[in-house]
Amino acid sequence: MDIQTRTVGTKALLTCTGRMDAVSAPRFESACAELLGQGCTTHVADLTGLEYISSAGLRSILAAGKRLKAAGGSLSFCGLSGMVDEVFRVSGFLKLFTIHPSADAALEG
Amino acid sequence: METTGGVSLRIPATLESLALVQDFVGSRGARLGLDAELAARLELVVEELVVNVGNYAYPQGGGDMEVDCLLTPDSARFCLILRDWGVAFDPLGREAPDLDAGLDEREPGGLGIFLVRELADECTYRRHGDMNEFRACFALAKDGRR
Repeated sequence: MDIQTRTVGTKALLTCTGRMDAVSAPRFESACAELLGQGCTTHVADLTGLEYISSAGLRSILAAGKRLKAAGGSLSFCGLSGMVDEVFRVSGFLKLFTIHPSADAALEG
Repeated sequence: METTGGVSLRIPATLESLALVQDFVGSRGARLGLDAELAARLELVVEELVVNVGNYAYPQGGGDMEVDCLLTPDSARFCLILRDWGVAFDPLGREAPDLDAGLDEREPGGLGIFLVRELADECTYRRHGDMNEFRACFALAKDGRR
Protein backbone atom coordinates (compact mmCIF):
# COMPACT_ATOMS: atom_id res chain seq x y z
CA MET A 1 0.00 0.00 0.00
CA ASP A 2 1.15 3.49 -0.86
CA ILE A 3 -0.08 6.50 1.17
CA GLN A 4 0.32 10.01 -0.19
CA THR A 5 -0.52 12.88 2.12
CA ARG A 6 -1.51 16.46 1.38
CA THR A 7 -2.30 19.01 4.07
CA VAL A 8 -4.44 22.13 3.88
CA GLY A 9 -4.30 23.99 7.20
CA THR A 10 -5.46 21.53 9.86
CA LYS A 11 -6.97 19.23 7.21
CA ALA A 12 -5.12 16.29 5.73
CA LEU A 13 -5.94 14.15 2.69
CA LEU A 14 -4.46 10.65 2.75
CA THR A 15 -4.61 8.97 -0.66
CA CYS A 16 -4.28 5.22 -0.17
CA THR A 17 -3.53 2.93 -3.12
CA GLY A 18 -2.90 -0.81 -3.37
CA ARG A 19 -3.62 -3.29 -0.59
CA MET A 20 -4.29 -2.66 3.10
CA ASP A 21 -3.52 -6.12 4.52
CA ALA A 22 -2.04 -7.56 7.70
CA VAL A 23 1.45 -6.58 6.56
CA SER A 24 0.78 -3.02 5.39
CA ALA A 25 -2.17 -1.91 7.56
CA PRO A 26 -0.17 -0.51 10.54
CA ARG A 27 1.23 2.14 8.18
CA PHE A 28 -2.20 3.82 7.96
CA GLU A 29 -2.40 4.28 11.70
CA SER A 30 1.17 5.62 11.89
CA ALA A 31 0.53 8.04 8.99
CA CYS A 32 -2.48 9.47 10.87
CA ALA A 33 -0.45 9.69 14.09
CA GLU A 34 2.31 11.56 12.29
CA LEU A 35 -0.15 14.05 10.75
CA LEU A 36 -1.79 14.56 14.14
CA GLY A 37 1.66 15.30 15.58
CA GLN A 38 2.01 18.02 12.91
CA GLY A 39 -1.25 19.62 14.08
CA CYS A 40 -3.61 18.16 11.46
CA THR A 41 -6.80 17.00 13.19
CA THR A 42 -9.28 16.56 10.31
CA HIS A 43 -8.26 13.54 8.23
CA VAL A 44 -9.89 12.40 5.01
CA ALA A 45 -8.75 9.10 3.49
CA ASP A 46 -9.35 8.72 -0.26
CA LEU A 47 -9.67 4.98 -0.94
CA THR A 48 -10.37 5.23 -4.69
CA GLY A 49 -7.12 3.39 -5.47
CA LEU A 50 -7.45 0.83 -2.69
CA GLU A 51 -8.09 -2.65 -4.16
CA TYR A 52 -8.19 -4.72 -1.01
CA ILE A 53 -8.75 -4.38 2.74
CA SER A 54 -8.84 -6.98 5.53
CA SER A 55 -9.70 -6.85 9.23
CA ALA A 56 -6.13 -5.67 9.90
CA GLY A 57 -6.96 -2.59 7.81
CA LEU A 58 -10.21 -2.06 9.73
CA ARG A 59 -8.31 -2.37 13.01
CA SER A 60 -5.80 0.29 11.91
CA ILE A 61 -8.62 2.59 10.76
CA LEU A 62 -10.54 2.11 14.01
CA ALA A 63 -7.45 2.90 16.11
CA ALA A 64 -6.75 6.05 14.06
CA GLY A 65 -10.40 7.13 14.25
CA LYS A 66 -10.49 6.73 18.03
CA ARG A 67 -7.25 8.64 18.46
CA LEU A 68 -8.36 11.53 16.23
CA LYS A 69 -11.74 11.76 17.96
CA ALA A 70 -10.03 11.85 21.36
CA ALA A 71 -7.87 14.72 20.06
CA GLY A 72 -10.99 16.67 19.02
CA GLY A 73 -10.52 15.81 15.35
CA SER A 74 -12.12 13.39 12.91
CA LEU A 75 -11.45 10.69 10.34
CA SER A 76 -13.67 10.35 7.27
CA PHE A 77 -13.50 8.63 3.89
CA CYS A 78 -14.26 8.93 0.20
CA GLY A 79 -13.83 6.78 -2.92
CA LEU A 80 -15.07 3.43 -1.56
CA SER A 81 -15.82 0.80 -4.19
CA GLY A 82 -15.86 -2.94 -4.82
CA MET A 83 -14.75 -5.22 -2.01
CA VAL A 84 -13.54 -2.27 0.11
CA ASP A 85 -17.07 -0.88 0.09
CA GLU A 86 -18.50 -4.34 0.90
CA VAL A 87 -16.09 -4.87 3.82
CA PHE A 88 -16.95 -1.39 5.23
CA ARG A 89 -20.66 -2.16 4.94
CA VAL A 90 -20.54 -5.66 6.45
CA SER A 91 -18.39 -4.43 9.36
CA GLY A 92 -20.68 -1.52 10.20
CA PHE A 93 -17.95 1.00 9.30
CA LEU A 94 -20.30 2.90 6.96
CA LYS A 95 -22.26 3.83 10.10
CA LEU A 96 -19.13 4.48 12.16
CA PHE A 97 -17.50 6.97 9.79
CA THR A 98 -18.64 9.78 7.51
CA ILE A 99 -18.33 8.88 3.81
CA HIS A 100 -18.00 11.82 1.40
CA PRO A 101 -18.97 11.72 -2.28
CA SER A 102 -15.51 13.00 -3.32
CA ALA A 103 -12.18 14.24 -1.94
CA ASP A 104 -13.04 17.80 -2.98
CA ALA A 105 -16.39 17.65 -1.15
CA ALA A 106 -14.63 16.27 1.92
CA LEU A 107 -12.03 19.03 2.06
CA GLU A 108 -14.59 21.79 1.49
CA GLY A 109 -16.97 20.49 4.15
CA MET B 1 -18.02 -37.34 -1.79
CA GLU B 2 -15.62 -34.63 -2.85
CA THR B 3 -12.81 -34.06 -5.29
CA THR B 4 -9.50 -33.05 -3.79
CA GLY B 5 -7.67 -30.29 -5.57
CA GLY B 6 -4.36 -32.11 -5.96
CA VAL B 7 -1.33 -31.25 -3.84
CA SER B 8 -1.71 -29.33 -0.62
CA LEU B 9 0.65 -26.72 0.77
CA ARG B 10 2.31 -27.30 4.15
CA ILE B 11 4.27 -24.37 5.55
CA PRO B 12 5.20 -22.72 8.89
CA ALA B 13 2.16 -21.18 10.63
CA THR B 14 3.39 -17.59 10.61
CA LEU B 15 2.31 -14.31 9.05
CA GLU B 16 5.40 -14.53 6.80
CA SER B 17 3.69 -17.45 4.99
CA LEU B 18 0.72 -15.28 3.97
CA ALA B 19 2.03 -14.31 0.51
CA LEU B 20 2.79 -17.99 -0.31
CA VAL B 21 -0.70 -19.08 0.71
CA GLN B 22 -2.28 -16.24 -1.31
CA ASP B 23 -0.31 -17.33 -4.39
CA PHE B 24 -1.27 -20.99 -3.87
CA VAL B 25 -5.00 -20.35 -3.38
CA GLY B 26 -5.06 -17.56 -5.96
CA SER B 27 -3.67 -19.84 -8.69
CA ARG B 28 -6.27 -22.50 -7.85
CA GLY B 29 -9.02 -19.91 -8.04
CA ALA B 30 -7.69 -18.51 -11.30
CA ARG B 31 -7.73 -22.00 -12.86
CA LEU B 32 -11.44 -22.21 -11.99
CA GLY B 33 -12.04 -18.80 -13.55
CA LEU B 34 -13.39 -17.21 -10.36
CA ASP B 35 -14.63 -13.70 -11.03
CA ALA B 36 -12.83 -10.71 -9.48
CA GLU B 37 -15.45 -10.21 -6.78
CA LEU B 38 -15.27 -13.80 -5.56
CA ALA B 39 -11.47 -13.83 -5.87
CA ALA B 40 -11.27 -10.78 -3.58
CA ARG B 41 -13.58 -12.39 -1.00
CA LEU B 42 -11.49 -15.58 -1.13
CA GLU B 43 -8.32 -13.55 -0.64
CA LEU B 44 -9.73 -11.90 2.46
CA VAL B 45 -10.84 -15.24 3.92
CA VAL B 46 -7.35 -16.68 3.31
CA GLU B 47 -5.70 -13.75 5.09
CA GLU B 48 -8.00 -13.84 8.10
CA LEU B 49 -7.58 -17.60 8.57
CA VAL B 50 -3.78 -17.53 8.18
CA VAL B 51 -3.49 -14.60 10.62
CA ASN B 52 -5.77 -16.44 13.03
CA VAL B 53 -3.71 -19.64 12.97
CA GLY B 54 -0.50 -17.59 13.18
CA ASN B 55 -1.79 -15.80 16.28
CA TYR B 56 -3.43 -18.62 18.21
CA ALA B 57 -2.40 -22.12 17.13
CA TYR B 58 1.12 -22.31 18.50
CA PRO B 59 1.74 -20.13 21.57
CA GLN B 60 5.27 -21.59 21.79
CA GLY B 61 5.83 -21.00 18.05
CA GLY B 62 7.29 -23.44 15.56
CA GLY B 63 4.25 -25.29 14.15
CA ASP B 64 2.96 -25.90 10.65
CA MET B 65 -0.27 -25.27 8.83
CA GLU B 66 -1.62 -26.98 5.74
CA VAL B 67 -3.69 -25.40 3.01
CA ASP B 68 -5.92 -27.34 0.66
CA CYS B 69 -8.46 -26.36 -1.97
CA LEU B 70 -11.19 -28.56 -3.31
CA LEU B 71 -14.01 -28.43 -5.75
CA THR B 72 -17.12 -30.47 -4.98
CA PRO B 73 -17.84 -33.11 -7.69
CA ASP B 74 -20.89 -31.21 -8.93
CA SER B 75 -18.65 -28.10 -9.23
CA ALA B 76 -21.18 -26.26 -7.10
CA ARG B 77 -18.75 -25.18 -4.41
CA PHE B 78 -15.09 -24.22 -4.03
CA CYS B 79 -13.73 -24.88 -0.55
CA LEU B 80 -10.63 -23.62 1.20
CA ILE B 81 -9.34 -25.87 3.99
CA LEU B 82 -6.83 -24.78 6.62
CA ARG B 83 -5.37 -27.28 9.10
CA ASP B 84 -3.04 -26.89 12.06
CA TRP B 85 -1.83 -29.16 14.84
CA GLY B 86 -1.89 -26.54 17.58
CA VAL B 87 -4.16 -25.62 20.49
CA ALA B 88 -7.81 -26.66 19.99
CA PHE B 89 -9.55 -23.47 18.88
CA ASP B 90 -12.99 -23.05 17.32
CA PRO B 91 -13.06 -19.60 15.70
CA LEU B 92 -16.81 -19.99 15.12
CA GLY B 93 -17.32 -20.02 18.89
CA ARG B 94 -16.32 -16.36 19.10
CA GLU B 95 -18.97 -13.75 19.68
CA ALA B 96 -19.73 -11.37 16.80
CA PRO B 97 -18.58 -7.78 17.33
CA ASP B 98 -21.18 -5.16 18.30
CA LEU B 99 -21.80 -3.50 14.92
CA ASP B 100 -24.05 -0.84 16.44
CA ALA B 101 -21.47 0.46 18.92
CA GLY B 102 -20.21 4.03 18.46
CA LEU B 103 -16.57 4.91 17.75
CA ASP B 104 -15.70 5.22 21.46
CA GLU B 105 -17.32 1.92 22.43
CA ARG B 106 -16.30 -0.12 19.41
CA GLU B 107 -13.71 -2.78 20.33
CA PRO B 108 -10.96 -3.47 17.78
CA GLY B 109 -11.02 -7.30 17.91
CA GLY B 110 -13.19 -10.03 16.46
CA LEU B 111 -13.68 -8.59 12.98
CA GLY B 112 -11.49 -11.11 11.14
CA ILE B 113 -13.54 -14.23 11.80
CA PHE B 114 -16.73 -12.20 11.54
CA LEU B 115 -15.73 -11.18 7.99
CA VAL B 116 -14.90 -14.81 7.14
CA ARG B 117 -18.38 -15.88 8.24
CA GLU B 118 -20.02 -13.05 6.29
CA LEU B 119 -18.03 -13.40 3.06
CA ALA B 120 -17.88 -17.20 2.77
CA ASP B 121 -21.11 -19.06 2.03
CA GLU B 122 -20.49 -21.78 4.59
CA CYS B 123 -17.92 -22.28 7.36
CA THR B 124 -17.25 -25.39 9.41
CA TYR B 125 -14.76 -26.19 12.14
CA ARG B 126 -13.76 -29.68 13.27
CA ARG B 127 -11.21 -31.00 15.71
CA HIS B 128 -9.78 -34.29 14.43
CA GLY B 129 -7.54 -35.76 17.16
CA ASP B 130 -4.74 -33.21 17.55
CA MET B 131 -5.69 -31.27 14.40
CA ASN B 132 -7.84 -28.19 13.86
CA GLU B 133 -9.58 -28.09 10.48
CA PHE B 134 -11.43 -25.03 9.23
CA ARG B 135 -13.37 -25.04 5.96
CA ALA B 136 -14.70 -22.01 4.15
CA CYS B 137 -16.84 -22.81 1.11
CA PHE B 138 -17.99 -20.52 -1.69
CA ALA B 139 -20.94 -21.24 -3.96
CA LEU B 140 -20.15 -21.25 -7.67
CA ALA B 141 -22.52 -20.78 -10.57
CA LYS B 142 -22.69 -23.62 -13.14
CA ASP B 143 -20.06 -22.10 -15.42
CA GLY B 144 -17.63 -21.72 -12.50
CA ARG B 145 -18.60 -18.11 -11.90
CA ARG B 146 -21.08 -16.62 -9.52
